[in-house]
Amino acid sequence: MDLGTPLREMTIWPHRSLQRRGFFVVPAIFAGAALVASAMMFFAPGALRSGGLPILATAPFFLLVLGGIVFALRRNDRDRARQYERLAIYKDRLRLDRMDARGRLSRWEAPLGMVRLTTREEPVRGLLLILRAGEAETGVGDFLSPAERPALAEELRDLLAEGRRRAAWRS
Amino acid sequence: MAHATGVEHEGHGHAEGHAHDKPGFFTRWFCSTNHKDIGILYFLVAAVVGLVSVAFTMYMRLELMQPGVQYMTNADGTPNGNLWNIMVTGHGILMMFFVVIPALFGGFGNYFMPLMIGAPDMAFPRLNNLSFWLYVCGSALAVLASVISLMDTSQTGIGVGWVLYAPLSTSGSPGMAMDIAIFAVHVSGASSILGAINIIATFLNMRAPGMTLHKTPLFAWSIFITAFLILLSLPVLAGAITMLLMDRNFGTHFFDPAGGGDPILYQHLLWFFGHPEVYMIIVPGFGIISHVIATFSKKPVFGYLAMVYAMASIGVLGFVVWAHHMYTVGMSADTQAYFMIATMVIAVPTGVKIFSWIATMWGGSIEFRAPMLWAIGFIFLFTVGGVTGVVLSQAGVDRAMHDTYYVVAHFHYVMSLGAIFCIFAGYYYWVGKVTGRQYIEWQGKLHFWMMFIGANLTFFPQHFLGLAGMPRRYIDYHESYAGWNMVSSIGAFISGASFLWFFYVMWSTATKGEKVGANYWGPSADTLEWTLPSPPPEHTFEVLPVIADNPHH
Repeated sequence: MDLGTPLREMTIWPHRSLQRRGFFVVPAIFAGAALVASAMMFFAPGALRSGGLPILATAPFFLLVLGGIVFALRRNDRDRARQYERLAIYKDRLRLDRMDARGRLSRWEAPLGMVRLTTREEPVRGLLLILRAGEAETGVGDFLSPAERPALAEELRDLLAEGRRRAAWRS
Repeated sequence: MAHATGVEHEGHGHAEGHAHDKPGFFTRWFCSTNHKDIGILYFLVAAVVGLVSVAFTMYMRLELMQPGVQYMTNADGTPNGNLWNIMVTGHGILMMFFVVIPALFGGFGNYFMPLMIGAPDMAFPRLNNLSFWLYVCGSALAVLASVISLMDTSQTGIGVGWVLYAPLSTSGSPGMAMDIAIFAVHVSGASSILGAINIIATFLNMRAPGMTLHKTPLFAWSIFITAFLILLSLPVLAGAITMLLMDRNFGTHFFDPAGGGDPILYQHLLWFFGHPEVYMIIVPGFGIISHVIATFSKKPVFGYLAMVYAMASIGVLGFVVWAHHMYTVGMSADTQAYFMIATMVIAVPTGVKIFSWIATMWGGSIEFRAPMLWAIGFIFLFTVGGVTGVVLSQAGVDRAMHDTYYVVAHFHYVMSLGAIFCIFAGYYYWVGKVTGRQYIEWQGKLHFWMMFIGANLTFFPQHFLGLAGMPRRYIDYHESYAGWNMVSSIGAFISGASFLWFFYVMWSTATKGEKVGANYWGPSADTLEWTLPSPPPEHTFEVLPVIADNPHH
């Protein structure tokens, strides 16, 4: 159902420890090191009497490994980045779109006026955040670490309050 | 965990150690994608292959116990030098490619690196499974190459040494055994490269929130650095042995002077891989030793950052010293001088590590449990191996010592004693975590003392034999070397017995060991694996742990 443009939106995604520039720096370090290593073999004084040309036989293997590193970092990032939760507040509804690690999208929706954020403390998992609308409820931010969830709870409360204010102002 | 509108909420995900469907035996151990199970499999296969390789050495030391050839003879009683060569090569190939690295990097690395960084699993669990089975295939092929060599006396088999030098390994070794051995190394290389890429993606992208690079445990660092070494050196070996196969089977002349090739080129390529290989073997051991010493000194490791950068420096320097294995091939004096100085420089970061371990122990409340004994034994033996390494780094000295038992003693002190002591230190340190049952202390200590005495009796006299000029890789020797060879063989049998004792210790631990809790070493064991039950549940860190305050993203 098309609800139009959301009044407020928030996207949550799991933690990834490699920063953006890491995706370039790591393969670049590997490529640089491989080049230096090959050059050392190629130009080592007097080391290779027959010339270093056959060293090029190692190049396809280096390129395969370089390709493997780039592919692995990007694929791993994509798998983890695929997971997200997008909370959108419309004039009279709240919608939570959830993409899991396998790329399956599911949706939870409730009338905005009924939605409340509640929390529950559990021994192992820490603080759990639950969106309730009457009998219906769903967890939010499960993939975050326990330490991140209190901050998310604050942000969600602010978001809900502001969303309701905006919705009231528009109506 | 997704819930459609109006569906009653069933709880948020799964608690740690919850009841996922338990896989059956075949699914768990043959199709596993779980990093912990794959780690255990690596360790067990490496132990079995290690037993085969150690059996080869027992046979060799039995033969060398007295001058003359007593056991390795042909039907007519003449010495069977080919059998000796096959034993030497089989031992080397199995130990270098299929025992030590798989146990340390594949076994401990797979099991503990993800746990230490708070990752739920490896970045690519199925690729991890593929790496393991490629390793099993490679091991089977390597053993098969040895068996074919032993069974089919019409061919020379694989008896050319683990370095597979051309032209011995090309025109000098007709028959399929050598092709199978080369293919085994290829398959093992593919396994290691895939494993290393997996480790790098896991280490870089899956550390828990707050675990910055400078807070990552030293063992995780050591595995990451090893992965980088593998990725930089194995392509060179792959290129070199592909050229070997081409020379053997497709009429190329990469290493054949008659066709314009150069056998020395093979040596350069082999040792460009071969020297970093030593660090691939020992760097994960450095990581284990750091944790063991900190735990049993009840102090944090001294100079954490220096330890990290020392490991990285050793890795980098390991790539620029390869030709110190080849001083006798006729390099120019300048080239030799460079390789000599570069080699000596490695002693600096290695010294940083040794002194940092000593400083960690200094003033600590040291507890001499079995893992600590192995760790202290490692420091002592690795230092001996390192010092003889500095001796051999001198080109002039090396020309005299080259291919003598001094070299055999040196590299066995570094690898046979250094790396193997690390494996056992790691085993006794973590076995309670992995199995949930603790080893029996006296059994671990007996194992240590048998191995320590046996290994020193085996290899220390070999320094004397080398200095006296006894050449390596021969089935027989002059009777003037008889005394120390007898001592060396007795030491080898004690070490061999200690290895068999280790298998009993494993069985005894699994059946009679006391059950232990999450952190049985106490608060000084402070990495993330100690926050988990022993053994850890099938799925760990589905909820990411947090290492320090971190901003919400």
